[in-house]
Amino acid sequence: MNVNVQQETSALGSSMGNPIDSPTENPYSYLDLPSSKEIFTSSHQPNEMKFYVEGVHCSRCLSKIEKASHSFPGLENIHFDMSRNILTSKLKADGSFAQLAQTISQLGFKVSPLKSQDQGLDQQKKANRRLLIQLAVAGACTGNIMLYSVSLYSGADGEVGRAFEWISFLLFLPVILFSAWPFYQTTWAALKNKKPSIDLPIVFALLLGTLLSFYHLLIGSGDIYFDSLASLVFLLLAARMTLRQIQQRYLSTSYLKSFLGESVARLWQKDLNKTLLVPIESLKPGDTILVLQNEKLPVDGWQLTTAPTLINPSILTGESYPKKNLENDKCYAGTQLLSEKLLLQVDQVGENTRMGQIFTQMEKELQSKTPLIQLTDRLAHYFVLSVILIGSLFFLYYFSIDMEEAIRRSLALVILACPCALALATPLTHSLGLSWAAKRGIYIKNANILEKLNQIQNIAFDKTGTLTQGQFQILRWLQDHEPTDLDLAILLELEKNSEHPVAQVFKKTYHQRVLPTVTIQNPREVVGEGVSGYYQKDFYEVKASPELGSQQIGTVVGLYKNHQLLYSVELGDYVFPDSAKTIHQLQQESHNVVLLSGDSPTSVRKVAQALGIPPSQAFAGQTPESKYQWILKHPQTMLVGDGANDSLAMASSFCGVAAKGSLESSLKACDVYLDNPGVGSVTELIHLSQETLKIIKRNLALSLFYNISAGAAALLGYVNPLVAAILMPVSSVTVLLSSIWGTQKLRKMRKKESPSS
Amino acid sequence: MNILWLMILFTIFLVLIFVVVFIVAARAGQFDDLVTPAHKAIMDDELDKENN
Repeated sequence: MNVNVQQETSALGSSMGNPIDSPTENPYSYLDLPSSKEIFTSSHQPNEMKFYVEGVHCSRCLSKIEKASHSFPGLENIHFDMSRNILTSKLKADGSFAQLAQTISQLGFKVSPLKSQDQGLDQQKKANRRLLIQLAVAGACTGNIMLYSVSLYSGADGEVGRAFEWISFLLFLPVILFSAWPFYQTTWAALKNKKPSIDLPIVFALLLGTLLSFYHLLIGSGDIYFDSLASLVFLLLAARMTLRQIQQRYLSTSYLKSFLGESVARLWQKDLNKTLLVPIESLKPGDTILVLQNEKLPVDGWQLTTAPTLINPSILTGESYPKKNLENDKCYAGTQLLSEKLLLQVDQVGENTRMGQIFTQMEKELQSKTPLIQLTDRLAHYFVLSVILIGSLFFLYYFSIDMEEAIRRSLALVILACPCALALATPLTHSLGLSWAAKRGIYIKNANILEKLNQIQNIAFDKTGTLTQGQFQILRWLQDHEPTDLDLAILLELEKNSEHPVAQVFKKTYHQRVLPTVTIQNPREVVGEGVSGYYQKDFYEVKASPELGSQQIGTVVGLYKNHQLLYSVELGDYVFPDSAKTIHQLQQESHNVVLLSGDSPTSVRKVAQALGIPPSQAFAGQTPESKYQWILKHPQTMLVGDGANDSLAMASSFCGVAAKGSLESSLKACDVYLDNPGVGSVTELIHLSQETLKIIKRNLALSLFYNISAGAAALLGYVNPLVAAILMPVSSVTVLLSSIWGTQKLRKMRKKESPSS
Repeated sequence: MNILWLMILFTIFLVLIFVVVFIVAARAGQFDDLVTPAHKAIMDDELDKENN
């Protein structure tokens, strides 16, 4: 492997003016390695690479990209999709993707290459095109059928009337054979899995109506429903297309982010004494890599650096306190390096790392998750049964009176009782809900979640990174004043050589402050107690100050002068200001709020107390596995989390919510992604779901009312195709208006948003 | 009334043409991205101004 990479380096060096040696190293240089090609390009399009570009909001940004790419050498084709932030670039054989990515990132945009996703995006695109064509065909045919139907309803008969009926039939054929195909597919799938679906009664009515109308067309008398059926297909397709587009538009952000290929490692080459950027996927056990400050470790490995290093393990364990690693200590992928640099010998890569194993299990969980059967679908199930039952009962009763009329009326019942209004309104209500949420930075992956959220009993929060910011930092100086520059300089000088996390925080916070130079005599560090020394004959100490500790969330450290407390400072993880309010509100709405944290019992207890979570509901020391176990025991739980340690539990939970700043793994596992810091959106999300369900229920009632009255009219023999042609759209429009209008509460929320947007 | 049949044939022919044109356009990816082209229309003007 090493030999291979060196050859690649020299090849790159000659063709690109050696980017490795140049002072401004191209951070994307790894894109031109052959090993990257396998990861970032698909096999049938080896010269095409997709990038996720952040920061393009207006046409000026777009024109910057276009202009820069016009003059780019070796470019064959470039397209930027603003709705999804994807840049598709196609280069000639000698083009360099590394340089293209660098050129665009130098314009001020954040560029990340997208891993080729087994053509997931291409398939989505193809399905979209297909649906669009089906919709267009249905629209064109329906419009033209209407022309003939109007003449028929206004009295065209005889030779012209017959011809018009046949033309309607010919125009109806593409609708029923081509455009209605998606309904057949979902119905077939539903029947195969023995699951109820709203499409079943629709397909039932559609096919029955077609057969009946065709029979009447052949015998030359009787009702013909081609116009109603065609417009039904058209409207349903349009509603579904809308939901699909909205879902895709708001979903793409979190979906794409889980495919971001920012995963690069610095491979250390001993003989050349320098590093080379390579994709993580090409690393092998035994390689040596270099990790710099604030970077995440890409692999599991053994520390080679002799000096101790500090690592933030919060992503893996949820613990905010930095961990000290010594030489030959095992380091885990996903943890963040706080020290300056770290040489690491690769032990496990990819799926074999501890994180990787969690992800593998997470994927399994996601696949086995049973989707919720929507209220509409469940209702449709009973609907079909009762319509068929009523139809057959009526048929049996009327059979002896007039057989032909019995057939006619019971079939008319089935066609008219088709809950098309409902099938139309539900996707629309969902689309409105999804876009409403997306405007507030709540990205919902699947509209089903909106219904699911209503069944939630427990809400479990992760602590670090979800309710809190996830970083050990200075919260505040107690006694409401900051130290003078001289005292601060003494403090920093005392802590200068300490590796203790507290010292690290001081150094990090004040490293840019210009302070007087002080010299400390006789400095001493007692491990586990603190540091001390003399400054101008005064004895200074920095140590834990227990006097005030009990009421604070974090650790309290004091600076002492001759054993007198000068200042004390609270250090810890910053709790988001809206956390307490949100939790209080959720508890008021009779949800059981639980805290699942990997942190130590003391800090979990303190945070739980500050947020008003009863101690019995605060669980400390949770591992990814124990969180998963807890979720299994409590099925109706919404889990709000952020780290990889939550992703397994999230995947198996009833509803997983990923907080802002979540890892890619959590983005994949979650059902909802919050783009606002903190958990304030959780209450909004729950309210939205309650309101959505209200609208859906109201629509159900409206639709049922229509269906029952139309069904009754059909059985009494008052219905002809004209009544059907008027009744169907009218019922649909009523339900549509009801959805758009929303409920009182949603309207109020919408009004509130409009001045800000 | 014979003109009626001619008209009907003509309308159906017209529908066919439009549908076929639409399908070809959709297959070529004309409707894949409905956001960017709107911005591009403005952008081209800006480019032209700078070129002149």
